[in-house]
Amino acid sequence: MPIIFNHEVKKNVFYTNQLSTDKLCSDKLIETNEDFEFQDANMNFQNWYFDGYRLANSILNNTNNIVTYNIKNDIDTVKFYFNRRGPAAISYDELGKKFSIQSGQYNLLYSSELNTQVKHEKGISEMFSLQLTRKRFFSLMDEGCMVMNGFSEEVYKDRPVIFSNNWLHIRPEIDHCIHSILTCQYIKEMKRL
Amino acid sequence: MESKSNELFVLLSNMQTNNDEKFVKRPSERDKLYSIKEYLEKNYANPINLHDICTMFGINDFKLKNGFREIFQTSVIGFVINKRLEASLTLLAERNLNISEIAYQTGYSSPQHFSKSFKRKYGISPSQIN
Repeated sequence: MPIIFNHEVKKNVFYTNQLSTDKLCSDKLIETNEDFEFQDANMNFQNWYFDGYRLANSILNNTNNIVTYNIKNDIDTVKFYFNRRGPAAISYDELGKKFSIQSGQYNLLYSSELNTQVKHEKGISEMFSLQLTRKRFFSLMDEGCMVMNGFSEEVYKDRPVIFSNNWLHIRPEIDHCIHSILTCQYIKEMKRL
Repeated sequence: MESKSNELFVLLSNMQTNNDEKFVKRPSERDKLYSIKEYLEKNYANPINLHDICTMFGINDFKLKNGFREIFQTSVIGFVINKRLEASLTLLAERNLNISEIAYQTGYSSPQHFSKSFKRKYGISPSQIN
């Protein structure tokens, strides 16, 4: 099942990505880089996926007033969202939560299906995300002997959950790590590693 | 990508919610620094003056220097030099221009300055590629 972006008012689909949970488990690194326009904005949307990981980066340049759109994401993953630039208002249907977020904030959430409404002010907004299949998420948790309070337990029970009701501050080491990912100069197998 | 994704996962798992930023404290400051980075990516081949950048983006010198380093792990000038050298590497590989032309086209004031900077980063001189 794909990821679909549609217009909040007109309800017409303006972007579809035929990504699926199966495709996300590809042995090889798959990269996509797309540009599309909607309302008064244009968006660059990059995706990388392999072996239970999905990384995505969207840069939205909104030249006029507020833009509002919906995203339907049927990919069953644990999602880490990093709002790197620009304020946004985000609402998650499955979690029954609404947030007003600022640049430099992150959060993580899980829902096997996620319907999101996003509202951006005029200007540039940038959002990076790391998404892990449940299998990959638990494998990393086990390997690192990590604990995420009740979050991982809810993921295990396949119940929608958000890590924090207040979006957290992106610290410099997180920023540096994302920056390294986005500026990786390697290609093909070396890049996947 | 896999190793960096894992690193990111570990960082987040170990993350405390305290804020240890020293220089960039407000979202608006962060947005300005990102805009400056974008400006430098487009204008690296032009002369860069920090005072002009401060005026253009409404940020003070201290915040620009320290905030930029805090977020992007390099100085403003280091970032520009890196962009110039990356661009020069592409031009050298294309073999359409000579070293002097590449130096001026990527923002260097002289071929000598370019060669010195290139060797410092890549360990070989541009002529060894060209």
